[in-house]
Amino acid sequence: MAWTCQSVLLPPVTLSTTAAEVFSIQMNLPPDVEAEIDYRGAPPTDVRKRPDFHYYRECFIPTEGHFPLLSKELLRSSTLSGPDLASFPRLLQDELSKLREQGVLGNVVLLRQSIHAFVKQKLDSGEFSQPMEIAFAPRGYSREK
Amino acid sequence: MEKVFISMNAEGHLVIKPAGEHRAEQVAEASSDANPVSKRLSKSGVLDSRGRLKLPADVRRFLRGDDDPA
Repeated sequence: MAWTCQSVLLPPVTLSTTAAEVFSIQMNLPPDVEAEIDYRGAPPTDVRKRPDFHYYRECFIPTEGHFPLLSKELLRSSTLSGPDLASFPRLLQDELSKLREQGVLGNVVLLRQSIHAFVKQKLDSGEFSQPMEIAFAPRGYSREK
Repeated sequence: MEKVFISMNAEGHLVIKPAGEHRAEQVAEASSDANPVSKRLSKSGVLDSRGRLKLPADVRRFLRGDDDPA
């Protein structure tokens, strides 16, 4: 399986854009995959065609708008309004990128605190040694708990 | 009703994909012809057409919290 790489659960990070926490896992990918993501994962060159383009590629959750889901989750707990609300996705995208560069945010973003807590509990108990092992465990396993 | 694309994989199993996903893969494959690494990763299903990890659907649901384990 392509995803049997090392991974680490990172502590929550509190955003300045909105007073909310973001939860993440760092997957240490093979160098050729990292290089390919750099090659293909850049934003569109002509932003005039996509002025509303908001895409935080480090989420690494393809399709179905993971980034919009993350924005929505964070906005739910915020008190932003007016222009701040409209510019929030862009501000969030910029802040997440900076946190990623600083190494405090992983490349797989979790949408809910409950998932982070569940993964942490499984790691602390010694049942699993790496967070992505839990993500790849058969779903029946997590439902039984 | 959603359109689907049905094919057979190397192990002889039928694979059913949404037509949109199939088209995206075709585009990615065509655009990656000049890059051997890109082509290999596209064919192995590691990355999608925008260079994002193509995690299995159940893993994506877990990470999104759709299947809340609590």
